[in-house]
Amino acid sequence: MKNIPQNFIYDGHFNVILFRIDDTNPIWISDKNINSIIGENNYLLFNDILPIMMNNREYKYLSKIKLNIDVENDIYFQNESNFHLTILRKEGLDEIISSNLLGKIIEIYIGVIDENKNIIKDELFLFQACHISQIQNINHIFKRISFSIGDVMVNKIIPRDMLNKNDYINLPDNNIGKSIPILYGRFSLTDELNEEFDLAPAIMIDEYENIYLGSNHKIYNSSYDFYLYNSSIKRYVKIISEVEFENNDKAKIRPDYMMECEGIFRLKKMGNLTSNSMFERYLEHINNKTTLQILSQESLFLSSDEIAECGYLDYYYNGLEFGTIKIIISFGSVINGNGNIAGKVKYYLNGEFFTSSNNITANDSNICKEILMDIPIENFFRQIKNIQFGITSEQNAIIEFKKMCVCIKFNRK
Amino acid sequence: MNKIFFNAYGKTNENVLIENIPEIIKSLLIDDIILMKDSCGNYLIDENSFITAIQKRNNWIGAFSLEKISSREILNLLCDYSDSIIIFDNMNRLKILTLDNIELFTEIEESDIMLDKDNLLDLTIRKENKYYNHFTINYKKDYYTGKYTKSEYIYPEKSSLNTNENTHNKYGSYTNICNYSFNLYGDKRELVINCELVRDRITAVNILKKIVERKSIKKDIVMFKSILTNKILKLEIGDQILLNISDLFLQDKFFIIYEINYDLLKSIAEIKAIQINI
Repeated sequence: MKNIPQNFIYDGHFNVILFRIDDTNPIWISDKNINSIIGENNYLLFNDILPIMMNNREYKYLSKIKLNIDVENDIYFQNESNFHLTILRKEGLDEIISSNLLGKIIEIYIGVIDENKNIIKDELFLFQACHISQIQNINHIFKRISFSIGDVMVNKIIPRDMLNKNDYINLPDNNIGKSIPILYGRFSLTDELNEEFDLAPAIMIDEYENIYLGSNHKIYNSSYDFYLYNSSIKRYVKIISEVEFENNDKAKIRPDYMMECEGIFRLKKMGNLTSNSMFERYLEHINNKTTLQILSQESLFLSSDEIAECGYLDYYYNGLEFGTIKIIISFGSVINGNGNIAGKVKYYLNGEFFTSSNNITANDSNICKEILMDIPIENFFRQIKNIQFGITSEQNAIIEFKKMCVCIKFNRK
Repeated sequence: MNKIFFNAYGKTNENVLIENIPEIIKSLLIDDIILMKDSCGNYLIDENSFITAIQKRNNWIGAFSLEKISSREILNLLCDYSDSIIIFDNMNRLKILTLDNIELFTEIEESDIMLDKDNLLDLTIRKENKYYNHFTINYKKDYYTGKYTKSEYIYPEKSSLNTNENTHNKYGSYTNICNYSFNLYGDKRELVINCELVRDRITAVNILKKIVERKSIKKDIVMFKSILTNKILKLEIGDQILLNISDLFLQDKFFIIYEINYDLLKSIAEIKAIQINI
């Protein structure tokens, strides 16, 4: 609802319309003869430049003022509207009302003139303020002042600064013209074990120095994890080598050039070494995300296509930690069987069995067990064609299985 | 490899994370769209309207990374999702209004409406054309694949649809609105919202519910002409009105003004308003 000034004297019929152009010396244009505007200083007043009557007919010097927001068509921001005011050209007026006023605010007031033909500014009702968009001489008689309001006032491309080679000499060609993101809210819900990633993108601005920008502004102070998306395996992998992060006027990220990464893959595909008796339970576990019970002397083996697709991998196993691979298994309750253990973790590579010394016991109940396993083959991920990780239970044991993930480290080429 | 990805928290205001949707709108307007300032150096923005909207949309959370978009497009999306509109008031200040605030309204009486040449009220009523009854919102966009990783939906119940779709009354009264729409119009109309600005389920469901309220039933649209009396002069776009006019079945319907045509020289206003409640 518009604010109407307390002193606005109005009985349903205003008798004066005034226009005020906000300039160094405000310019007032009135449709009635008035003597002065009380409450305004150093102003110019024109009483006689509106063509109210022409050839004994009322002249429509002010167009209709249409204000609208097109909610019917799912537009929720006020539309651009244009209006105009026609004034008479007079000697000396062209210099005052000229293109210098473009962009200035024009205010339309209505009110009532007192008996002394004075106007008190505070008692006028500011009907609408707009911006001057055009001033043109129609002919030798008329001049038109056009003004506008609505989305034209805010319609810009954001972010305003686009990436270019002048600012960023080593900018990759395919990032020219892109913008540095504006970042709102939080990207912090990453759950690697469930393969849920909620990550904000950072764009490369220097392909030689390996520098990325995540935002064109300082961001909230928190701890950061950095990831790469590996398109060949369709997975995000965590950068675990050193990453410099600056958070001054921009969020700037600089990982080690030879990035060391870690990928965690949840194993879901049933391996052919799984006990037949488990088939129904396995399907229910996959479909309904339920806990899977491994009963006495049963075997559950899971495989991952992704890490077995030899030739598609664009990474290689990290030589620094050659000989290890991490298996992460999440258990519910575990009941020991014969030999005081519940079962063993085993794996098969290219169909060849490798055991491990990793026993599962009742102590592993309701925990996430991490097991580092030996890798017996050089260039492991280049040679591997089939891999199955699994659990075999002992007689009389019961193991509640939740999920199994395999974690590998590699250097990004 | 031109992008890496990170767990990040976005922009702040005085070291507090900006994530409330009306607050994001305000931040975009001030920091990135560069609003005009008045002669005192204040932004031409109605602060009180933003304070009210931020309170009303307290748990409506946005989280997104913006790359090259028109301010018109992003502001419209944010308004759509937060069920609000942005207008310029008569002082040229930007003002935000949430659309569910039926607290302040102006009652329009028959005497406020002009008569036409046949001495009848200069008032017309029509129905909106669009409606939907199957609503899906996709959210939590993956910025590498461009795909949305989460969805929520509100559909009519299976019984009213007579199809094999696996639907259930998960959203109570909102499912009932969909049932009502489907039974009233007799056909399935689907609306899928790809909401790239939201990552959490609570906000996605809030948005979905508001869209169900707004778009499931064809709303009435009224148009009338009035003399610029003090009451009419005060009205602006976004104001809510109730029409106290007998025999037209409008008494229990609240409308929001979305267009005003002023003819100041004749002291007349033509007003268009759309129903906001069901």
